[in-house]
Amino acid sequence: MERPVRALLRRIGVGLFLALVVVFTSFLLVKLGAGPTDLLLGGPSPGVEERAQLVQDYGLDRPAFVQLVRYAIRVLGGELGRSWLTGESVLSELLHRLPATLELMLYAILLGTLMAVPTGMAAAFARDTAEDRTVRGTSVLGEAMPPFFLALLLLLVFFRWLDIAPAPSGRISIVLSPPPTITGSYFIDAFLMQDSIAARSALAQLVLPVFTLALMLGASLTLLVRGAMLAQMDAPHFVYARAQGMSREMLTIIALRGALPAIGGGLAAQSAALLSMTALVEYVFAWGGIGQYGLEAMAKADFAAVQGFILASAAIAATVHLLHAVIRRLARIRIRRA
Amino acid sequence: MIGGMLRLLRVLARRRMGAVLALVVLVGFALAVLARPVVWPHPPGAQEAGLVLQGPSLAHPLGTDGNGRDVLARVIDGARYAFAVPLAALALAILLGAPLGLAAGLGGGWFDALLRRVFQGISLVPPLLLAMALVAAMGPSLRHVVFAIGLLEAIVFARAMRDEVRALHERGFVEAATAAGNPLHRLVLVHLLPNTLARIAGEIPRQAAWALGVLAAMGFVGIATAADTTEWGSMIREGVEHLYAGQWWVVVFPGFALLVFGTALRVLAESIDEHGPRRAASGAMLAGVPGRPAGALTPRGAA
Amino acid sequence: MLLDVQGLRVDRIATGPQGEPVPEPALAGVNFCIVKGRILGLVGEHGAGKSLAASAILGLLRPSARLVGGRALFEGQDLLRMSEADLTRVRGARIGFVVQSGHATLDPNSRVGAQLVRAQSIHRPIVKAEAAWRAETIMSSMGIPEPRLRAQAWPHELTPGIVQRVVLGLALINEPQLLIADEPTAGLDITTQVQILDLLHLELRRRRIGGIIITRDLGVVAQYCDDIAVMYAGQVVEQGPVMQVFARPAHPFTRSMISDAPERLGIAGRQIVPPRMEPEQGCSYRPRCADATERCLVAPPLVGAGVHAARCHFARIAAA
Repeated sequence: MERPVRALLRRIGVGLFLALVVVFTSFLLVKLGAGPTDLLLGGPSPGVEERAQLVQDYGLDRPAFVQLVRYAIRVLGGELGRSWLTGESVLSELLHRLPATLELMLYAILLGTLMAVPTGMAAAFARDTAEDRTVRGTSVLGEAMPPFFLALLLLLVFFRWLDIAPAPSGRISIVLSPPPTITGSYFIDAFLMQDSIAARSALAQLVLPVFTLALMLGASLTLLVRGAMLAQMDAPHFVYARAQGMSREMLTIIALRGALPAIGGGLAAQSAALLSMTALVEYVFAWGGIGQYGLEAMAKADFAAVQGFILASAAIAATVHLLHAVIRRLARIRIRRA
Repeated sequence: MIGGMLRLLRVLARRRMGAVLALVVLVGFALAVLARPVVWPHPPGAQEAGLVLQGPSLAHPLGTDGNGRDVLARVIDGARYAFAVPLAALALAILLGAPLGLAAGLGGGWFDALLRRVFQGISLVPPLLLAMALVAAMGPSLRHVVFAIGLLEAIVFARAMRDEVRALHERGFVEAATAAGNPLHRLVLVHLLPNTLARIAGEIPRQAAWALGVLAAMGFVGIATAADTTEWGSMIREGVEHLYAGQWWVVVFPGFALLVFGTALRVLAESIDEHGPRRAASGAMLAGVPGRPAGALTPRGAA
Repeated sequence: MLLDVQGLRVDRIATGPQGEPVPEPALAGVNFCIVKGRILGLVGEHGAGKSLAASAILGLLRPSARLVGGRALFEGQDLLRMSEADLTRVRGARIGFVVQSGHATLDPNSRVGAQLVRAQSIHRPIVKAEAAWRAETIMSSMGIPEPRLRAQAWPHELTPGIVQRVVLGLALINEPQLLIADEPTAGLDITTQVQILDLLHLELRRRRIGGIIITRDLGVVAQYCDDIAVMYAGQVVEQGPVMQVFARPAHPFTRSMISDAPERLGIAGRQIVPPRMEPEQGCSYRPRCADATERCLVAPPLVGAGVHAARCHFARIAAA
């Protein structure tokens, strides 16, 4: 009983330390910045009162260490400050935009996995043949592709030339009003409200950004699946399964099941890269998620928003890692309980 | 038997071909940068009022942009950034990261553990976004771009260095060299560093490709530099409105330059992964025949 | 004749100094044969190519090895020229395979009982309940206590001895005509080794099927096998009935093995890597042979009478 408790405490301690490192990084961001902190946070020309308020809130007249402690306390308390551009609370703006980003990422992960797993498996089975080399070559090309350029290429072909995709103007056609918020996904909400025009528009808006992200994610995931499958196929139990006379289908299932932990781990490790790609793709499609919000805040020097965005990104990445750890734990318990 | 040998040779040539081709592409870009002022009549900055947004033609093979500037000249000029920024960032990253990793690997203990956790924490923030935020905070300047990228890549090199040193340590390498009476500086310079070079060198093309992508993303969002430059990401940013209007060449050509340059670097990285010293142990896959252990390095100067 | 291997040649693709693949002959014409109902002991030093020969016969070579030539006639059909689909019907059904012990050989993601059921379903349509019953039956005949309970276990929950009994059960559950056991007791403790070998021997005798036991231990051959094939540097240098070979070993390598077994065979952890073979360099054992003469610069022929043969210029084999 004692050891699990100690392990848990250790984990919580490590988690807390990591959170502090992230907060410190975000704090350092404005400290490294050009110009006084209050100007970075309050915009290029804050009023006298606003400046005084900022100095008081962040303790800007105190030593740097005190500022850091204050900042950490504020952040851990959920206080991310105000954007000088919109005058809104950064936290509420981020929360408002989060569903849009999550929707995009979720669909991209689903579609990307759906494309990458069969392709990577086929490449592994055809190791070192022309097909395998083609798949690997395409994947390397995909890894080198800047996400925003792929998005623009797809827009050029499907929006400008073929005119079958809608303009990159956000999550729903600009002539329609968004459906009332239920899940936060425009498509699902419009569907639930039985508003077929809005649902169709939301779906059409989703296609290109999701496809861009799925292709980007699929490229690296394909190589990952291929590597994990090859590792399984070199394992003694796989050779033994062949010696038992198993058919190709059964061998595929055995190898895939063995490769799942590695694929899951790789997917979790890709979460940071996926977040970056999502931000750039959102920016191109004016998606209105936290990625576009963050990048625009950077371009317009809105640093309370930038800090909030950095913290939110870290929080999403940490959540993915946590989820992955929990799933892995559960899978292991399933085997142990038997 | 002879047929088998021939087939093997052909496979070998085809595999190396990727690396050769990648080098040809990179050298080609470099030559183009050097030759452009002499060979090409249109300077990248020259605006011709009558020639705004012309499609590809004989005089302007890649067309002209919204200010009547030659896209070919600008794409070639942009390669300067693609070489300079990643190289400078890499130099900074190795200079910062390698000593840190060396200290962590040799010292071990609490310093190693602390550094590991700090890196883990920083890595929770997607590095591309963190680099962009850093540059946004410090202000638009290539020097800041190099600093931000170098800082984040230093983590990669510190980790690689630390793992290599640790691995050598665990194999009794450090003890052997110390027992032979080597002072610390000799241990590091003569015995440790040469054995970690392969790993460090192997990381370089991949990190260069990453740096190129970050630079382009910063240019695309418009935080890399103050003025408009021929950096490919910035060129794409300027061209987006024209792309939607149908003048695709303003975006597509700098984009392709990015893609080709980045692919060349990644192909180089893959080739090093496959044929470099760390993967030389693939012979161990034979059923029942022992090979060298995976990832075996031959220590030099161990005696 | 159950299995007749003739002139089996396999190249190993090694990695050269620049990382380029280099083919090296690993099996240079292996000949041996098994008669129904008899057990052949395939012995040799570490790296002589025993396991490689078994992998080649079953078409299980890794990508880093390549079949160059030879024949392996199993009940009149050449396994080396069989299509993968046909081979799939032979493996596990007509030829059972027992690999080196350890958890690594069982599928780590399936329960033991499910693996025994699956092994049956590969080769014929099954009724689930019947297959499960057969799985339990074979587990108990392999001497596994409480088979019903153990069938629900995952491989990593079992002791190495039990795992090896399961592997043996997997190899026998489809009633093959031939069983190949590749170092079936490597890594087990001595008591378990004896138990597993006794069980293997008993099952082979009871079912009257052919068996190949690959081992480095001459004691195992003496106790459990009818015939012996001695491998050295990718070739069978001597084959014959165990009694005859042990009484009058014809090849100098066999003689040296018998005179200082078991240390010679690398059981004491000593690895003796045989030199690479070049046919033009003559007998591959020449560098280690005490009796080598100038004649040994020419590759030796197979000298033999009846069932006992050796690959040595000076072999004197008396007719049995």
